[in-house]
Amino acid sequence: MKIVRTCTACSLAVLAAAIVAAACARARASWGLDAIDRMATPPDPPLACGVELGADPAAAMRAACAYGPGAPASETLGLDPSALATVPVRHVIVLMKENRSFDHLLGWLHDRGQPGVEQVPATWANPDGTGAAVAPFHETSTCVPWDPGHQSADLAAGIDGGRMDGFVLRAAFTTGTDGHVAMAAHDAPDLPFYYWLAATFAVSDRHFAPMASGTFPNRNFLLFGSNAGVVDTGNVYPPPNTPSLLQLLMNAGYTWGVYTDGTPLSGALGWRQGDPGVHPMQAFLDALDHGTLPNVAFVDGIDNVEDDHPPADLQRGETWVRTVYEHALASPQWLRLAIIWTYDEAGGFADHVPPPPGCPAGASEFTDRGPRVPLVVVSPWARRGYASHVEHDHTAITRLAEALFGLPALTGRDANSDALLDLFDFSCGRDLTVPPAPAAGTGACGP
Amino acid sequence: MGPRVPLLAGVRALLAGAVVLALALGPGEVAPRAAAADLEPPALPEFSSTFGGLTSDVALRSGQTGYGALAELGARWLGTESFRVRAWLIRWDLGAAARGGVPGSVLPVTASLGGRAHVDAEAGRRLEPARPWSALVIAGAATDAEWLAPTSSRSATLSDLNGTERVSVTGRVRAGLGASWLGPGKALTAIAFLQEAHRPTGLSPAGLMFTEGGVGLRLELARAFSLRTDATWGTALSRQAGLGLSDRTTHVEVRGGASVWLGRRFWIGLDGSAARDTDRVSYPVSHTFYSTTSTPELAVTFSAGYSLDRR
Repeated sequence: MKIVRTCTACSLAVLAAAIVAAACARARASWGLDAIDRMATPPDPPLACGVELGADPAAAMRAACAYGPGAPASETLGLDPSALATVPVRHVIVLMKENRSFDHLLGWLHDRGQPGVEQVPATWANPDGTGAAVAPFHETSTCVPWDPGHQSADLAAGIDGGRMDGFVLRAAFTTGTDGHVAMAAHDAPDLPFYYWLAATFAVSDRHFAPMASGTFPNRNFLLFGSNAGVVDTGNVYPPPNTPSLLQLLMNAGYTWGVYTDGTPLSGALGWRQGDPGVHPMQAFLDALDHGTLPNVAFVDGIDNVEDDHPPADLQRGETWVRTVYEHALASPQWLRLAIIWTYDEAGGFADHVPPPPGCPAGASEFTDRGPRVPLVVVSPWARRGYASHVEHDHTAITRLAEALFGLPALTGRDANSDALLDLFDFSCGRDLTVPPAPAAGTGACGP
Repeated sequence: MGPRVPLLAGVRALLAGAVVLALALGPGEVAPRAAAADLEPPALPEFSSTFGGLTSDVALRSGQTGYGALAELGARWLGTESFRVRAWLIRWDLGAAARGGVPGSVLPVTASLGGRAHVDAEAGRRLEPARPWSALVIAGAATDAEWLAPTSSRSATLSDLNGTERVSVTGRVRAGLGASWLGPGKALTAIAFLQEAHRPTGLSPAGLMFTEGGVGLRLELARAFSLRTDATWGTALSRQAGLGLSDRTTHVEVRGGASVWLGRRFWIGLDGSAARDTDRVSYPVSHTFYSTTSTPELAVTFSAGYSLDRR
């Protein structure tokens, strides 16, 4: 019997080693989207103008979160479906960058060519660990070396129940510094092209991260209309059977593409180069040059280098955006484009506007939005020099795609979003040319 | 017909394996039993193997929520017994434990504490109780409830996929047919079963009801050794009316384990499981569908028990 037990114990040990080894080799999910690589983008309908967006009769219903999944955009936006079908924009480019709040990136925009955006209150400050008030200050370096904490617990502390006064203390806790970096802000001379885009095209000063947390859940809202079960950034991904904007586009015969030389979608789905629908950055620039864009393109810079995620040099990220802009402007599809330049979340940098709650999103229990992030619509059809104050989050981008391509809402969050339509002007006879853009900034990253 | 063949072949293989095991374990009793049974009822003893005491385990797992490690300390009462002259064979496993650890490897990693309770009971009717080998009909039910809460003020740092901060309940009812062999201090059962199982899925934290089939094999040497395996396959259908889609989830799970007693009071065990969901998401209006596969859920559990029985 002793021999039997010894052998059994040995067998258990071997089995344990095998199981642990198998568990460590964590297999990846399969998203079932392979068909995207075989789909052709449908030809654009003839260019039209004069689409009257007019009044917004459904605004009160949306504010009351009255619409649910499946709701057509024509109903929730109070628009004739045939009018939506003639909107000239047929290709949406989502340039979602990383981790900058509105006040941090564009804090002086009110005084630098766009007086329509809300000015940072002179009295707004955050206390530091000594009790001293820290006001927003001009950060002359565009490569801040610290990355303030920005997951759900950090954001809850920073937002502090809407007082917006906990960012410095939280940054001190998560960076091991005095935390003043949370109040750093960049001015137009640091980021001349970014400021020019925001002042020239249509900017929103009420665009919030959809969830008070990090990259993964916020990017999930863009794709799924909810956090898809993910609370913080880590190595947890949404269930691959979660209904998504990607599926809805393909159902209707429209195409999408993910373009980056870094981590696709900043890692939110665990995708890699070579996965279905994922392409290198050069393929995106080629598509712009040749007029072969998919209907929706999700474009990301290289992580921590081009995507503006600290400690990236913002001026390098600005140069990257300018490259995209120049190719877009020269593209044969320029008149059918809308570039949405925004940030996934505020990255622990302070903002003075308390985030309003969002509508419930499916089974998600999270309605707390994160701080404001910049959002600029760059398009010949953008309302020039316009500052929007309509409250929304990334699901407004989702809703824009749903409106343009006749797709149903995924959840209550995108169903009750405004689709960014006030940032556009589709009237006829407008001057669609754009003034020359300044160069991106240089030399602010120290020696 | 296609799917039935491997299932039947599997059942046959299991039964054949059971015979081989039975022969290896007690050839002296198996050979003469038929002749002896015809002459006079054999004085076959009832089978009994029970444990009541303290248990602890450490479970390592990987899956949708990354890597996790949880430990338990609690009490457990389990056993297998025959009664009514071996006409009935019952099996039970009841336990309650404090549980803690890291349920998933989301960042920042946060430890959680909570508890778990489980009840698993199965009754089997041996159709030929006087014989060592008998056909067996079983019915059983099981439920497992777990609750975990983060230990730090970082109260929402875990994915709501893993049931943190809510009671996560699974359960099943099962009926099956198979074979039972009882020898002195030894019991072997091999069954094929159908069950209705309720378990959470990634998209449905509240759970879906799966209709499943499977096979199971269990060998017990009273208070010396036990070996158990289960393999199940089944599907559940869910619908999202708003989007007009249906989602058929197919769940495949294999689990197995062994325990060995080290002396009169201690035992150690090792259990492992592997499960995976595949889904077919269908949009009837556009006649499109997506076949997706979730990250497999793998787990290995090391356990130990200390018997408080007076044996």
